[in-house]
Amino acid sequence: MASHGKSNGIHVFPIRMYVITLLLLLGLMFATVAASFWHPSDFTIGPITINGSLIANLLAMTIAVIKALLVVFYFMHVKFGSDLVKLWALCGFVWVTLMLFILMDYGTRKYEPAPAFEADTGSALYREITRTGENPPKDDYPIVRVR
Amino acid sequence: MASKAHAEVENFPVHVHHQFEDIEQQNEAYIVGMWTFMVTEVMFFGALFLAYILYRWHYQPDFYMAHKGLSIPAGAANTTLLLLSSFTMVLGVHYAQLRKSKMVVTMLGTTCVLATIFLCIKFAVEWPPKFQHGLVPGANFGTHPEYLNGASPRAAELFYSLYFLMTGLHAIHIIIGILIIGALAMMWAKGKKIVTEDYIPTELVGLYWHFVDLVWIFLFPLFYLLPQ
Amino acid sequence: MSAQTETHQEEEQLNYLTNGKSLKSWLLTGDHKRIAILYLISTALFFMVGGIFAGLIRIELTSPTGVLLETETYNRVFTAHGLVMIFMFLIPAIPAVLGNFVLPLMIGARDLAFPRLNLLSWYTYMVGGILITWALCIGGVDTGWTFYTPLSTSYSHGPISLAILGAFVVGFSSIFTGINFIATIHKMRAPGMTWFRLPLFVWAMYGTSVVILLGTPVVAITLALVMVERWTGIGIFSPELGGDPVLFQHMFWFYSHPAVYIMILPAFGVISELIANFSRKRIFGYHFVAFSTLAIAGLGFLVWGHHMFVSSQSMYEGIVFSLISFLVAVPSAIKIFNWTATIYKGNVRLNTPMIYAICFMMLFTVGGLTGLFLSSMGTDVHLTATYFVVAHFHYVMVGGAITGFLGGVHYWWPKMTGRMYPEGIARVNAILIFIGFTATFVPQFIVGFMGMPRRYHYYYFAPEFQIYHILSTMGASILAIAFFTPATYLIWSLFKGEKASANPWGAHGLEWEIASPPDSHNFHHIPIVTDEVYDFPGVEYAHPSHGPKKKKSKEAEPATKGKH
Repeated sequence: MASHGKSNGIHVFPIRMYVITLLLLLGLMFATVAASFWHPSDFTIGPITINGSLIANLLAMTIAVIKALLVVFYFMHVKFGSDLVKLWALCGFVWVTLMLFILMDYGTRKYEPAPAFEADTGSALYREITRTGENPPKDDYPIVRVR
Repeated sequence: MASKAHAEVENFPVHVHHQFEDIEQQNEAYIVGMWTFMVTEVMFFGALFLAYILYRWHYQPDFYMAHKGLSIPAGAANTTLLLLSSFTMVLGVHYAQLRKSKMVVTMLGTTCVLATIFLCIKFAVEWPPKFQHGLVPGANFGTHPEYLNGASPRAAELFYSLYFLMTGLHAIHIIIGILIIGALAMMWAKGKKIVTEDYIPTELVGLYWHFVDLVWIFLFPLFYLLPQ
Repeated sequence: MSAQTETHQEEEQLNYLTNGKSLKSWLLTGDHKRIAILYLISTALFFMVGGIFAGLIRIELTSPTGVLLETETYNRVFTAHGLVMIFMFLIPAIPAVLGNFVLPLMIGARDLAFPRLNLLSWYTYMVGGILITWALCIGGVDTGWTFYTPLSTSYSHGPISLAILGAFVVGFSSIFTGINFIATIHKMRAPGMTWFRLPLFVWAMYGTSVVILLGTPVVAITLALVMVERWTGIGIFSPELGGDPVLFQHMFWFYSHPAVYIMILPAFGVISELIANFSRKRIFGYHFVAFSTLAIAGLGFLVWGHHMFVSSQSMYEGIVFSLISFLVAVPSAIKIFNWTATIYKGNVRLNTPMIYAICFMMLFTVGGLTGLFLSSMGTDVHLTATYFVVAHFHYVMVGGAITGFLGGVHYWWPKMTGRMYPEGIARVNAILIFIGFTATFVPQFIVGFMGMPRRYHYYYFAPEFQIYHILSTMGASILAIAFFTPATYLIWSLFKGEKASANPWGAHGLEWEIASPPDSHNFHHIPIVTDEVYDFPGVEYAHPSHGPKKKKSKEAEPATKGKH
């Protein structure tokens, strides 16, 4: 798109730019598929142990974010767009991140002094409270369907 | 990355709606409007991603086992198709800027075809076995426990609920995209002035299509490539 | 003033009302002013429907054992009241009626950026309204307007999916309006109309649109999930299927608390206009008021958890939400203080809109301060789901938003219709609304503090509550009359009202420089703005620094075109 100002010119970008973007995207896609077959084990530096699953997750999401940025910057022309377009493009993603604040609720429940209610053993909440190790308890309760 | 080149393209006399002063203002308003719409779309999918993150966090081991029911080759093929379709779409915009009608129609047509193949893989290859294997949420879920790969039925049902909801919503966007791009290609082919005299309508459709691609870029690793 | 004057005195000049008389010309119009009128009529109808339900609730509560309704019916009535009032009246009322009408006029544009999208928004609204009405007609919904799970997903019977579909569709209507406003405010401002020359109503509309765009999709998808859960077997929110009902509350309030700001921010904008124009003074601390609008819009997204203090939310997150909820009081207080400072030593004229503005300031202050009781976790445990909460949000919604709406409608009525409303009866009526409102909701504060739960239609366990309920019902009767009267005298004024001049209030702003009612394209030539906002002619300031910064010369010096 034409950036702000009064120039009547249209920015036409060379096809080469799109080809390179596409090749990078395809390469990253194969990278993320390949990475999914790698199951890193837990990683310990001194007192800190990093969960292997966390590393794999971070890797997959980093690749996804890079791919997304390539699409947004070059295919959607945000890199060459006005500040306003950049602001709006950023806005949505920032707000989704803000919404993840919801997860803080679930993350801090287990630190509450005591569960304030009689736990319903079938509820997701109960699992959260009784969660001790990495794995939530397997439940074999029959699925109740009221509808 | 690639250096950007500025080519000055001569301006054709274009139709400006009565509420705008000049074509510049009209185009900028369209771009801003489209981006604000994209923000709502991001929030729309964002809420579903939130639910996904929450349950993945709660039921990670079960989700890992349940995700083995999805086919990575099918997912990777679909990703490739969507990335390619995004590429052809952006070339469509490129040729629209240069006013090469024929190339625009070709590129938009290719985009539609790629998107249709995407839907075929999804609806004809991926989803039917899920019905047979009892992996569709509902009363029949888990009737063939061997396909759950050892996941707890309840968590696996949540996984497949989210899978069908999110890829389903994405597929609806693809269908809408095919209809819009198809209509746009028809208009280019017929030389309708409303689209041919400026590249902005094509650009707007392109933005929508890249957004659909963007969602899939996140859906693919989140559903097909779970780490242990 | 130096802005280009566009007054056209010719009587035979077609205005937007007379330009095309057929029904088709109204139903297929792209004119923002006509769409505003369509919205005005439809929101007024829905307000009446919602009001009838409110009346039923009040009558039922006059006796400890109920006088009128079955238990089940009562649940459906209060749900209907909430649904209609919130989705069909409060959310679209000011943005879609007043915003649609005056926003393009204020910034010097010929129309909104996307007129057809604007019309589509009205049709979407009507489709949603019909769906909700249909759901109410075939039996109604008994979940409350909040559709809490698992009641709404698993246990409740009735046309819940239909009502939810209605709310979902109405959501899109506000998204369309929001997109339109954002693009219009960014790109359609007249030359010289810089961001800090925008009237505060435009700022309010901008803040509101941002909230609509960022919030509405979330509630749309949340409600859609509830619908899908009812239709199919998935269980995102159903605990018996492994889901988490509290997630619904999080996602629902992520929109529905900011929705409160969708309702009140436009009212803030209207009140800023009224206070400035009827005090003949520039708004005290214009920049602060403008930025407090954005601050409220932003902070409003971070406080949803205060609806969930007793919903098994983690208390640590509760503490954070409590803190941020207190913070929202700061920008709100900035507005109230700045309005008060504007009135101080102003040349105040107590016309009807100004009376509404003063009512707003008094009522909103009470509503806002009682909100602080509810945002502190300790008191909230006692007050949750009592009539204290009911009174609090009615103080904000009715005392705030509806008072602002009525004030705005009176203020812009001459511009909309070219007729003056009868000033005397309108003034009396504005005072009557204040009296009726106070009589209705002050007893509810007291009875709520004593422990009367909301959504109960029996209180035989505490017959001493009856006196408060009777007082409240009496107030509601006054309020009903006071809400009905404007409808009658405004319609009367359409035919018999005095003809209005282009600028009956001596106000300052682009919308007052064109004829009343404006013609279809608003401006024959786009005006060039060279003077500051709220720059009232002939106003002496006690000290030069109190007045607006004056340009050196009054010659038209086209400033840079307002972009970004």
